Amino acid sequence: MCAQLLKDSVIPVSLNARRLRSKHLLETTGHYNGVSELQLKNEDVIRYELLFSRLQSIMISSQQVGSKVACSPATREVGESVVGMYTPEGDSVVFSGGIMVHVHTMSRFIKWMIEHDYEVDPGIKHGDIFENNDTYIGGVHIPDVMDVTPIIWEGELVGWTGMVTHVLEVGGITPGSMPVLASERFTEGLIICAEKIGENDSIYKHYEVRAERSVRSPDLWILDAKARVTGAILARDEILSTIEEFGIDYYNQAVNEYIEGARQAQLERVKTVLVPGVYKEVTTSDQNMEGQAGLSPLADGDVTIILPLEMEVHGSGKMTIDFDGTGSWRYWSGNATPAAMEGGLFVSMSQALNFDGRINHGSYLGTELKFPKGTLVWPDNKYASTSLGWNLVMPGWANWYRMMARSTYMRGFVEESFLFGALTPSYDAGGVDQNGNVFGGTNFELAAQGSGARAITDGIDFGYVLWNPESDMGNAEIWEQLFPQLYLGRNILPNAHGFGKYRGGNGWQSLLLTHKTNQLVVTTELCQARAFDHQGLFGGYPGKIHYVYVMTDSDIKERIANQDELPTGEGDDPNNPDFTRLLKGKVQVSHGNMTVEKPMKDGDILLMQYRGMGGFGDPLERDPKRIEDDLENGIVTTGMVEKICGVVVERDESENRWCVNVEASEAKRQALREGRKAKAVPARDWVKAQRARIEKYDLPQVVLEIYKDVSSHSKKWMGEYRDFWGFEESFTFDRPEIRDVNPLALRSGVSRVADDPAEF
Amino acid sequence: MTRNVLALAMDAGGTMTDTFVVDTEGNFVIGKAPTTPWDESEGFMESSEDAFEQWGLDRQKAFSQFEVSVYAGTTMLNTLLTRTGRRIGLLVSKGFEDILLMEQGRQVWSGYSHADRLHAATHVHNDPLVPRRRVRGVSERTDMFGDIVIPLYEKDARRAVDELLDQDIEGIAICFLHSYANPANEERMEAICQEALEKRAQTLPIYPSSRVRPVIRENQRVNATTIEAYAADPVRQQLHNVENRAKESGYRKQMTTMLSYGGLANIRHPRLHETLISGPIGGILGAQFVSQLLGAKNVLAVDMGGTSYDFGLITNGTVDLNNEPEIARFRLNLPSIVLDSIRGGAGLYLSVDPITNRIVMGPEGAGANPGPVCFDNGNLQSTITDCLAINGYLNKDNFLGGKVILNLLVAQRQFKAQIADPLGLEVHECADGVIKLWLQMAQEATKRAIHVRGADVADYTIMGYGGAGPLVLAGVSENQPFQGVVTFPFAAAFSAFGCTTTDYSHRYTRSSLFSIPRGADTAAKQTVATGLSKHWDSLEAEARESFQREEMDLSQVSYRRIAFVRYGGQLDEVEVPIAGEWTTTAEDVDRLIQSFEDLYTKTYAKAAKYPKAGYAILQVALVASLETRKPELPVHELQGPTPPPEAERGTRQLYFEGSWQTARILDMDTLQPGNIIEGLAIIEHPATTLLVPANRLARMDERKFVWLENRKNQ
Repeated sequence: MCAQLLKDSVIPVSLNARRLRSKHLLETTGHYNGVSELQLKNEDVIRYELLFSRLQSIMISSQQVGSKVACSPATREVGESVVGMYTPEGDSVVFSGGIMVHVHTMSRFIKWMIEHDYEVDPGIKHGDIFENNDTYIGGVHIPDVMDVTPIIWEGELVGWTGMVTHVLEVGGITPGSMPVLASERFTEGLIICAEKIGENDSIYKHYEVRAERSVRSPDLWILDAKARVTGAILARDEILSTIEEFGIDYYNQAVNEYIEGARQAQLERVKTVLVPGVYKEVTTSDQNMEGQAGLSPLADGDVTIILPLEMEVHGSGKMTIDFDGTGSWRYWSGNATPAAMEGGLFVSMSQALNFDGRINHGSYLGTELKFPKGTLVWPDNKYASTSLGWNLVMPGWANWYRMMARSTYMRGFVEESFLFGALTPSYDAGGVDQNGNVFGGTNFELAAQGSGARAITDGIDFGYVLWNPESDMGNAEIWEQLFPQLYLGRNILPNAHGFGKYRGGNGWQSLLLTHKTNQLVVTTELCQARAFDHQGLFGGYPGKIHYVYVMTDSDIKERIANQDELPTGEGDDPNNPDFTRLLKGKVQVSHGNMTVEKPMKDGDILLMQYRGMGGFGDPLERDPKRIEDDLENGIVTTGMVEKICGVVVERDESENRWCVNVEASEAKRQALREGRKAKAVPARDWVKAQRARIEKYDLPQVVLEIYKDVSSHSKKWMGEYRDFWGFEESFTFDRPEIRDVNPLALRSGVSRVADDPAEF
Repeated sequence: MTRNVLALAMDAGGTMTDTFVVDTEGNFVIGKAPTTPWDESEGFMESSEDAFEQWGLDRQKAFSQFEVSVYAGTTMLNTLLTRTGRRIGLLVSKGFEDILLMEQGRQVWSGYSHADRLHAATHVHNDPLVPRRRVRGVSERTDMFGDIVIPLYEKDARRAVDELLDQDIEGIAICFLHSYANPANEERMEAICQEALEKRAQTLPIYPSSRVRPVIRENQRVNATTIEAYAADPVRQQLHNVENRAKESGYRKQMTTMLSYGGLANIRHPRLHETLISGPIGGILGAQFVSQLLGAKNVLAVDMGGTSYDFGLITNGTVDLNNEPEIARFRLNLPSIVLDSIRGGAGLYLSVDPITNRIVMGPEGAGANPGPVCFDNGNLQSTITDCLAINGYLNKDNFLGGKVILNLLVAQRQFKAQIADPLGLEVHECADGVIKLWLQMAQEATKRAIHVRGADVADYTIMGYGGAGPLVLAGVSENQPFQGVVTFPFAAAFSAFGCTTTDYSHRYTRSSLFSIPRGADTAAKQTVATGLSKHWDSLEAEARESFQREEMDLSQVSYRRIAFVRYGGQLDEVEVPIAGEWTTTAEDVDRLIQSFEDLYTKTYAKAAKYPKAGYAILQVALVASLETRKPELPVHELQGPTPPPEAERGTRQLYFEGSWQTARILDMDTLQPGNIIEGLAIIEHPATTLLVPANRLARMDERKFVWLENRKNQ
């Protein structure tokens, strides 16, 4: 239908007019571009599938070739890239694998250019290359750089192809790609705002000159740009050949049908696997950096936030996902944009619902996302930093994963009930490398941590991150080429997972010796200080709290010279870690995001931990055989399983292994259950006691501040709070003695869809 | 007639052991027998006997005449898949004791379909080849430059070895970080192991990674090293059994086997993990050999089997190598002939997604047992083969030479209920569509293989072989501007044939550390040239020593030098063969860089060039080869275009391109050189079937190769 409309147009239709018409058709007909029937599919399902599989194949091969050009281990070693194809209006059609969050953020970028009349200035022609990493235009944080190129067929723009990579050094206030000190965008690094960076399939010289003078490791930036451009151009050329074969009319209509088909499939799938109704989840996130050197005077050093999420699953299959209840944006690195949160929907749905590889804009249209403007998920200040936008995207979507796990479980799809993941800690480093060159980078070994548990088995150990299901940590020998650090250990972190009947996937750790440099700046990010966003489900425990250790002026060289025992990590006892038990030196321990006090020198040491996630079900129900296997592999310690799983563990000296005494364990578990009962109080008594505290505002200051802030954004949230605790309308947190965390933030009062590029 | 046989090649696959025997005149015969995994020498003897019988040969006489015998088996792969290898211990740099348990993240989803890679709930770890209790860490560290930062803690080392030896192990693997750059710590560790063994009056094989695979990336290196320690012995045992049986039957030489990078090696080769992918690559080597006969520089070789669809490229006469293949869900840094593989075999299961009502192919398949529905052997889930059967592509009474009678009724009933009815299509129309979709999937995968190498389909000749290769050849090449489309009467044993066509050769690789910054002067380039020569000289010495040990004629050995070049900072590299003479001068380095730029630009977009970054050479290689006697494929006199009457086998109804059509049936073995068969026709062979569509013709050339060509009036 749309193809016919276009054909009949006498006057060339601007891309923006097409975009608006597409939106109008959706609103008036309920179908993408007014395509109510999948005519091509119905007429010849085989040809319809032939074109789709051709397009998908093109995306996959373009990603493979493009990635080989990069010099970033993130792109080459651990698959941090994605290639996608879009309609002229910027709606996603088909993509490769990889970091799927950017299937959508690239779409935002294209739409922004259309809305801002790029057709007129700077113009759009075959061979042009446009680049963006401005998150308010489309992105999660600035290291995710995207390049797109138009597909022009006989003078008409018929689509776009693009590729995204995560660049490891962006020229921010501290080296690496995710400066945790950035509280405004001005310290995040090199920002390319929807810029034309080349034409005739070549990148402008001045683009390379700027990169050479703006980031610490220009090769990483420039070769990644070349990788993206290669991927986008290859995909474009192949699509042009495909159009030649199938005909432009068929292609145009098929693309519309693929999107409408995905929309319809999304609704059907939700109807099939979820239980209709309203779901609520809440999680917390925080940062504990007050007083750390380098923070801007504007910055909020200590931030604790709550992230509530409500989802209504309608009978029609539509999901309405609402971030109402989120608090004010802050001067910290952890704000996110609606584009980032919507991108989170893409990566989540592609793993939890639409894993047939056919997710696209249509799946997004089958869902409604609502954001309150002025909050952390939609700052009304475009200068507020999103350097660590993932700080919100991950916990925010971890809420959704828990909803999905509950709902699929209720519906009987227990094998799909999976807690996926939450925040994934990482570190950035830079300074002078082992070759004497200025450098910066993010160690992307973070890209394989523990997953949450599954309802039928344990989570994935050391092999999952929620933002890329094709997870990988790469090789230590490759990371040692990029960073002046030597691994003294890369091993399992015992008890890092959440315990449960099925435990979460376990985490791991790297112990890194600063080597052949006296100037190494390290920052850590995406860590939780005191909050838990990696909760368990149905009685499962959250994952382990996260620590970062830095030791300076250590005696390690002396120990090496004497051949004394060296640590390899935290060891079995976090209260007396091997790292500090065996080495002497000045220790800095952090619960989360941090920067080193001074550049690290040759011989200084960093202990980095990668998380395990939440468990599923009561740990007292855990199979003793699984516990024995975990003991054998060093995933748990005897003390912890005795305490948490209620087992009695004995040493079998003849076999040289730990065994669970099943009979004694049963008795112990029974006793623990009795103990739980004895400790429990009736819910009504507990509510009564807590209500009394709240009435007197007898809550930690930080909690009062959160509540005051959130209630200033959402009457709905405050109303539900009052209803739950049984307070009158007069009860309020809007009291002068409670600090306003950000009086500048817009209080829009409602959450709404944020899909108009004109607003960004 | 007196017949003198020349070579015997055997490809022991998962199900069948194929034998290819060629005589000095270039005639060949194919033998087949079931593979016998418990003792492969039984299958070896039975399969060769099957071939000898067809020629009426005396076993003893035949074996005594063979100049070359190549045996490519699957023992190593099976040993890995069934986890039935040796009980080994592993020594690693302290702090890396969990390396196998953790494994590199990508191995959690390695080998999965595209859909399951996204569907993280399905991801699982591999069982490690060495349990954690038999892994010990030893304090030591070498850095990327090869500098020893932590000398080996010898006390630790002794304790670690003792703890492993106490566990009744059968071998020791050692993998220390950056040992490829400086093997000193590993070598010392090996010596300490030897001392400990001597004390216990014990002997065990020791496998230091710096000897097994001295290449960067510790996860891949530890995989290669542990696989060698874990699975090499059982393989060697099998190979010796095969050799012994051959020698008992009069064979006078040593048995050879096939290496993953395409050379033959004596079965006493010290790195048997290099045979991990051996059988299937025989096909690529056969295609390379045939391409030389035909003067075709670029060839796409395709092998359609029941489970997978494998394909490889020969470009400018050379085969591509992949330095990081994934085998049995292990990622290795083993140079291997690139044999791309998709789960696209004819045994793929079919279904219809109940939500989207779209066809789903695979990812699993029915395999040989129970096989497709039409085998009537217990499987009720429709497969591609069932579509082929119900639409008349396969001879229901002569499948596998009549060994399997196809039950078309049950196949059609199941396909109708499971696929055609949900899609609202008539059964044969639907099966036709599924076949088209399947063929496109195969065609897309092959085109992708060509495109990712920066090449063009129009420059390639496509060769089809394997059981179903000839059947899909027309479909895979449909509407593609290939230079030629060809298959062979011996298509079903083509991989075994390929094993007889390759040279005796070994490949040696070593990590290096050369950088050529932008604007490097002559002196700097001279330093690089000298350094490269030094590496190659040392690899050549290693090769000479090895060939001497294998009792080969050193005067006949030729050497090929290779540098792996990348732009400074890149992580991927381009394999650049050294063309012409290397005189160890700065000009040589300039030529090397120019060759790199040419190859790089061919593969990537022009925007990808970045000479500003300078160049780095982090790995060098040397291939040492000794030519072997190859089979001669005889040239026959061309007969007329009309096939002899005895080749005609009547007609069959075939649902093709949307309607029932009458197809001529012919017998492949009876066709004469020069015969032309116009489509629609099916040319049958006991082990394979060639489809000639209505718009094509098949022409048998003077070597009895069969070409699919477009009919002029079409």
